[in-house]
Amino acid sequence: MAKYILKRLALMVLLVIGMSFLVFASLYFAQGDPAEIAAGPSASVEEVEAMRHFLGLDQPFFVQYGNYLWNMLHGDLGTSLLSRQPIVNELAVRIPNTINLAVAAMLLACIVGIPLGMIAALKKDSILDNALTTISLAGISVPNFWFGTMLILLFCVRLHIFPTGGMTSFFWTAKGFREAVLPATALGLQVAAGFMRIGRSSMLDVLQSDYIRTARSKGLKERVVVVVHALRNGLIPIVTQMGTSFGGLLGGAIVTEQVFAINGIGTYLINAINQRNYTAVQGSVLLIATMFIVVNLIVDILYCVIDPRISYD
Amino acid sequence: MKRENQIAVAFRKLLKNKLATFCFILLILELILVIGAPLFTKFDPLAQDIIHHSAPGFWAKSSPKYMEGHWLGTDELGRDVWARLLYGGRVSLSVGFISTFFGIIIGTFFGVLAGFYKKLDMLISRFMDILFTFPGVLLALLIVAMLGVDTKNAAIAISIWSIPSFARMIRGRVLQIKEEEYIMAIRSIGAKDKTIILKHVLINALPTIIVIATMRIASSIMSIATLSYLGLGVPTPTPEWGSMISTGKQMIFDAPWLIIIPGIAVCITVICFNILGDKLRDILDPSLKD
Repeated sequence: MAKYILKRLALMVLLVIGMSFLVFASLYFAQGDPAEIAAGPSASVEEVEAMRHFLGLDQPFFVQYGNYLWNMLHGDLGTSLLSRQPIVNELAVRIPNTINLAVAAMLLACIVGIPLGMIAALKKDSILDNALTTISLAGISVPNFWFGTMLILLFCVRLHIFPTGGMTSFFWTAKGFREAVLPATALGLQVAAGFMRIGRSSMLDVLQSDYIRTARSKGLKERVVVVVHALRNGLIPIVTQMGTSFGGLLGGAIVTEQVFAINGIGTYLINAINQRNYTAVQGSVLLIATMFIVVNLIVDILYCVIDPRISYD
Repeated sequence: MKRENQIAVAFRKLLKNKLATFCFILLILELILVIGAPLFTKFDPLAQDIIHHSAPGFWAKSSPKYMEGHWLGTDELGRDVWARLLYGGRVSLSVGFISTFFGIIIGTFFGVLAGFYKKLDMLISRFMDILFTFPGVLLALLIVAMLGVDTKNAAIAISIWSIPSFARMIRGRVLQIKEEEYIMAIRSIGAKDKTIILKHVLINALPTIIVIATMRIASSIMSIATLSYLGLGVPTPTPEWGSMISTGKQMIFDAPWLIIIPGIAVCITVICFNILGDKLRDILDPSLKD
């Protein structure tokens, strides 16, 4: 087990390096000159060149990447071309908002999606099953930015129940909860629908297996069969899916933050792209992707704990 | 010859399913409307008429702002919503189709190479792993940041975004096909790799490709709408469903239909492609279910 985790950690480091190279290279070859952007629109040619030298942009590509990687390992993602603040600081202010949103959405998706998927499997081919399956298909087909806007239209503009946007407190506080309901629903819908579909099909597989037949023939109550015997194995595919889903949530959060005016990493990234603030784009893309890689690693390890049958090779 | 029949059989089976047939007809109708847009509206989607802005449509005929002829109303600049919906559909659907097409070509190319040649597999699969570290729209955003905001660049971004998932699924399918006895038989009579790949592996992977492509069109249409909503896809004033929702959001209090109508268009299109994909998968390649 320890060997497996070490191996996964090594792979994670390689992935982060590969990903950071891709991010660095793609923005290195981007249109527009970072030195010009940093120097401002009224700068003279000499000032732009001085800025280029100051930012180290006159050095060869691999030297620049090497420096970037070295600084990254020390927790330094460079300074924003526009505000001249360290990007790490600017991101640190916003990370809690994004994680707050993503975790709230994930919890909601688990609470709603998993039980509904299980129920659909237990009532296979009933009207309820068909209704739930149709809803889940619709759920994965609705764009989250539109769904979010519809929620605002209904619950804020018409019914005045929830605030239209902003998310400044954690979702487990009373104020934060009120703020989190709509964004988390908008963001969590697709994941909940995904969990429902996977939960239903994995539960159906498990319910047909031999050991469930044995449990039933022993005369166990149906509830015991389902809760004690089937659930644990039925959940395994969902756990595998959780890593990818959390990534989807981080990606989706970029969009949801725009809908609900939440000051998270997504909003920072979109602004940075619009302002051609390349160092900020680099930093935020790198941060989101690294978070995704780490979450996947955690899920992989969890997966081994839940399912001891998995081999570590 | 036999393979053509298999696809035709699958199509006939598909049309036996009522829901799938309904979606298929709906999509055909939508395509006719969108391609023949000038036949179905007399308005120019860009023509502004500020005096008659945000007029409601058929649902509020008694309203003093209602304008005869604009059956879906007008937007914040007095442009006809129905015309923008039709012309906007051209952009959304063509970006969806084109980016899926290029995604398939490139993804299949790498998927087949990785599945067929063990030596290349390591290289290609690790590269795809790196592309997979960008969750959701992030990869597309990075590419748009690199290339600049433009419809063409958004299409490129969405194509590249769909490459890794195509490549991975096709690779999996090719690995299965490669192990089958008839491939070994063909190889033993001295067939070249090129022949085996083009004539046998690719053709056998075709059902899988069709299924993934159908579903991918759905997500590509959603992606272009998302990018445009973020202001990083189709530039204004070109109509596109996502950017219509984005500009409509400013009018959420006075003219909510500006958000509702284009959103319904996206949803219907995406749901139909997803349902078709689901049914096609059940018929052509049930192994893709998870």
